Amino acid sequence: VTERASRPRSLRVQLVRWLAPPLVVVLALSTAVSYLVAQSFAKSAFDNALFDSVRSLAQLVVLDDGVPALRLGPSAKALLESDPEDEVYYRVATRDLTLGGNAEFALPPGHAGKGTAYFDASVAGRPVRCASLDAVGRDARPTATAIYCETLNKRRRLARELLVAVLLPQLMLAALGLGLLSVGIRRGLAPLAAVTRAVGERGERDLSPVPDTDVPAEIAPLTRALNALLARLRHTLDAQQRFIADAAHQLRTPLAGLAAQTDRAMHETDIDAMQPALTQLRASSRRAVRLVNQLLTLARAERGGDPRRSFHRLDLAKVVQDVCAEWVPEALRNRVDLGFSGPPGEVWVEGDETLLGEMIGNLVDNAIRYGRRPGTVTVRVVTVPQLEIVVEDDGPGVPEAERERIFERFHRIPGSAPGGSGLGLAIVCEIAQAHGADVRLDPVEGGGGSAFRIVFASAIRVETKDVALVA
Amino acid sequence: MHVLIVEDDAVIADGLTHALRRAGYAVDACEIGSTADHALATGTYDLVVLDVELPALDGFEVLRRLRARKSKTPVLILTARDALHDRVKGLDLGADDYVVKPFEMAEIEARVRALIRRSQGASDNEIVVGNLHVDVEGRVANVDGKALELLPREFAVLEVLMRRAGRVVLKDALLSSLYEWRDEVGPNAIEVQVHRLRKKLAEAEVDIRTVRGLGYLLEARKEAAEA
Repeated sequence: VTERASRPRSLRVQLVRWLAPPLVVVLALSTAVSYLVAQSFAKSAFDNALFDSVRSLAQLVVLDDGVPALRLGPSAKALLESDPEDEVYYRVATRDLTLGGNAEFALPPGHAGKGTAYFDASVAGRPVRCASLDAVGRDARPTATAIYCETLNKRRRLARELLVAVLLPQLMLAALGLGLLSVGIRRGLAPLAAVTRAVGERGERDLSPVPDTDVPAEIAPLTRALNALLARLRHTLDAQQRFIADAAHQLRTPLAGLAAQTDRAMHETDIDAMQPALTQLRASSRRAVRLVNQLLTLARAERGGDPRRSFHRLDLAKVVQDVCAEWVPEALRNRVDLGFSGPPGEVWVEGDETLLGEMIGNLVDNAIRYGRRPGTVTVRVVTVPQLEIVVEDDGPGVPEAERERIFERFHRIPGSAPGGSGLGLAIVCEIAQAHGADVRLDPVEGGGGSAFRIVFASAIRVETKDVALVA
Repeated sequence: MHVLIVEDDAVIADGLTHALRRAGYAVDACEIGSTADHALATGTYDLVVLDVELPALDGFEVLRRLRARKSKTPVLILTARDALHDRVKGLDLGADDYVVKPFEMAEIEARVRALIRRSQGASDNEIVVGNLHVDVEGRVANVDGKALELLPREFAVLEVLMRRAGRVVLKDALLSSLYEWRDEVGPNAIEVQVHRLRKKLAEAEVDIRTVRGLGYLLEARKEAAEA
């Protein structure tokens, strides 16, 4: 089914399909009208000629002592019967007596005495066109009726010729129109073919804009959109390349430390003398592990496509509470009093539990790592006026000049405690964005410390128990 | 206790072998999936530490064959793959635990201990933190052998805290673990219980910390002093 639906449809075939039925109807109508009009003119012209013949025939009726007679000499007979195309039949008769003629046929019923008339009849099984005329004597009384008929050959020939004469140019016009349409579409789409070729021939690294001059107005939006996409891709690819370079560079440091400390340890023969080197080794390897884990988290958070695929309904307050509980032992080891406060009920949002946990964990980790010792870190879930997660510490705070830069990847505040990967806040930003939330950093009012706030878009529906009770 | 380590990375295999030998286990190590399969089919092991990416036969297949032989030997999967479907696949095939590389050796040791204990059917009857011993089955607790007089509710709270020593027990979780008394026990009652417990534990080298907004955490006092 899908294959059928996705089969590309030719613009030309579609246009022709659209145009052909009305074209055929218009063609048929105009042909019919012109044919009928031409035929009615031709009919009256032929009927006039027929009348001439019947009048000539009627004039041959003479009164011989008051008795009508047909005076038809051989030359007149030849003249009457001479027709190159049609068989000619004629008859002159009074009411009860045939005066002459070359065929037996009757007037249509009720016709007698009506003078000049045209009618259709058939003679010897062939359809004919007839004209009748009453011959009149001196006293203007009808003496005899003359009927003159001819077969329909020349009328039919004329009809055929008229039909051809009318239809042929119309057909030619239609064919020409469709042909021009086809050529027009091909010519109009030629720039598109050029764009297609240009895109098809380029390598996967060539993200330069597609040439869009000479592109017709109808196609320009496509090339514009294509170029915008290419620009975004270029931007992303550049950022990714920078990121890979940065990541490799960052990994070098702990790895170099590992190598150096390993060498140092290997040169020591005394086990006790080895200990400092081994301690350093462990610190370096932990840093490398942490960095790699952070890189993986970041890659997962910004993985192409829609992160919302993995979203489901979850209680944000519960997620935050669980993450905090996990971090309490680490906080205690660092003499940090980690606390949580949240609304009394559930806070339902659409999200990815793992990513949200990672995001909150990173903020709590930062607060413990860079806050005061002993110190206090509080994580709050606030629902009024909008949904927010706030992670607040009472440490030295972030210097004004650094407040923007700390969100950049691998940026670390000069002189800050070692061990950080420089990726934590970048991860926080990515995950927040995927959940339609903003990350803000405010100094804590009345004193040192920073408050990182994850502010969810107001569009996110928060359902707490309170709301349910009110409703 | 006989442990089989199946890991094709020599450095990790070496580290694991040494750590587990130091912890008192007899350790065999092999690098190839088919060898591991053969070893498991012919020998008896109390635990297998199994890498997934292996030459000749991958870890999932080794595991599948092991379970196909109706073996109940606990298996700890060790892998760099941390995608959810890999974890699910491993656990569905009958793995007992799943650790993602890179790992801390202390964590592996703890998990190996827990897996072996579980497979031996040893119950976690006695929980010890510092000098505080809690016999879950006997419903008694003692400090340095001196029995504590605890009311049933106090004992229930202590048991939950001890089972999760060093980690936070959420107040809600504490409440629901006292389900039978829930009708009488309001949130403040938990605080009352903890308050009484702290008094009775004055002699014990443990602290029950209040964690703001979350719950309680029981830890050895020595640990806190060290930090």
